[in-house]
Amino acid sequence: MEVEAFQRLDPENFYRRFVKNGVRPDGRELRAVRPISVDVGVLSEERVQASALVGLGSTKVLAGISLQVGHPSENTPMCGMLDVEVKLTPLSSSKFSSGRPSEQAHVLSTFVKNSIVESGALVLTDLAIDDGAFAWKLCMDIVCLSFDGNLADATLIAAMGALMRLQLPGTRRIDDEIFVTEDTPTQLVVREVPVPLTCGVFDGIIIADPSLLEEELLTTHVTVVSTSEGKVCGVHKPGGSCASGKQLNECLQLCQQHAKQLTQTLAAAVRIQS
Amino acid sequence: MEETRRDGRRANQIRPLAAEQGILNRADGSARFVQGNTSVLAAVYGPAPAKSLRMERSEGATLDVSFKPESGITSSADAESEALLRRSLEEVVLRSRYPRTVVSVIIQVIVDDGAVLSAALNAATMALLNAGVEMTGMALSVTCCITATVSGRSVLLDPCKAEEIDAAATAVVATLSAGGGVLSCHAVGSMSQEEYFACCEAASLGTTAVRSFVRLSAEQKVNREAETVR
Repeated sequence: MEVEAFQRLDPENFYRRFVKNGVRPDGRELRAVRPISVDVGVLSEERVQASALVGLGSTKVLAGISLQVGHPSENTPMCGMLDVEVKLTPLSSSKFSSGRPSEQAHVLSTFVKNSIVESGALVLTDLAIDDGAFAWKLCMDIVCLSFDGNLADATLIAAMGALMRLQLPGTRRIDDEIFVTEDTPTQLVVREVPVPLTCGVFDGIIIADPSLLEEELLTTHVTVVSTSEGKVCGVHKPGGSCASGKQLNECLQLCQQHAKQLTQTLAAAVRIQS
Repeated sequence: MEETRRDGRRANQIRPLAAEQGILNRADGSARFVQGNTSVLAAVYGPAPAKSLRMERSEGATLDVSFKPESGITSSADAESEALLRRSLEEVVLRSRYPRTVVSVIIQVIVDDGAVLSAALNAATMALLNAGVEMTGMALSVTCCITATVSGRSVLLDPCKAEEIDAAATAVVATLSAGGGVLSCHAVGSMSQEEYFACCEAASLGTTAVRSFVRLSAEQKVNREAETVR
């Protein structure tokens, strides 16, 4: 049978033959991550305060942060806000439709927000202006430009790239209003750098960074978020086949190894721009 | 002396469980799952013919899960919970037994006093049991949190709302059977690897208790019904 026909008719066995031999159809090893590119400050910083374009193989994601000034809510005094919205448009894949955000988009938005806020990477009280009478609201928009699997990783890396680039402009208070000034921007303090790694399981074998083709064949996937110091900031496994403790441990180890390299890539990208 | 929590529980103790089954007239199956003050109601409709072609799959039933929070409109976080619940249930419902149908699961939070996602999954599983939908196992869950106290960090099983707010990290863990690995996991916060595995361990033990409880209450219900028929 021709190779292409085999892949179409029986993708599972097609893939199994590769995995048995320790390689994947795109030539990667089982635990190899696709090449990651991070470009920071790709959008005009007059309009968008910080931006990052991340490529994970042919998955491409653009994140931008714009700033607004508001009053902290009464429940959370002194705290600013982070609003994350992931947009999956038909531009990137025919799987997505325009209109209301899909479930997947909501899941990714919450994932990115939780990973940044709950891990302590961004402390919301750092966003207070003028002793908490006002606060910054970070509006983070993440747009998927090209979809080839593993959006969780691409969106969080892009979000972190933009966040590490963000400078908060200086402000001056006149009576009861805050004016944003051009001078003396301060660098936002990013206290941790949580980075993700998604692994999939196929026939009990762990596969890192699944592509679109692989995502449909995997029986489950686990997204681990951790820092380069080995802190675990998130483990997400929505259903699928059960994962043993050993498998989870392997995913955590892989993510921590990956985090060391990825935080350096991120830091380097931010340094080049500034 | 062992340290106790604000409600007098030990760290590895879950709150008292209670459940009611078949409490809704119109639904094919329903259950209310109560865990301390947290209370969640789940209803199951179906397997019924798909109303739209989009929902119809020739290879098996489609699960349509909706998760309604205690109050307010559904947020992105609720959508995430909904996705987790759906994917966990998809794994256990024997979908190939009901091709071209839709099984709707509606989960309404009545009182949210912590560990609400776990209670929602437990309620949904009980409602599916009550509806007689065939499953390969029971997807049951317990939440853990890691709290930093003066005497160090500790793992608290089944936290209440106040404990959840103070927690450094929370982990929702769902299992299918004792020792059978993790079906679903949703951990957020900041913790060490050891703490994460301690959470998984504690939650697995917790689900064992929930599992015996669910089995017992389902059995009791069946026995009671058998008595009335006689």
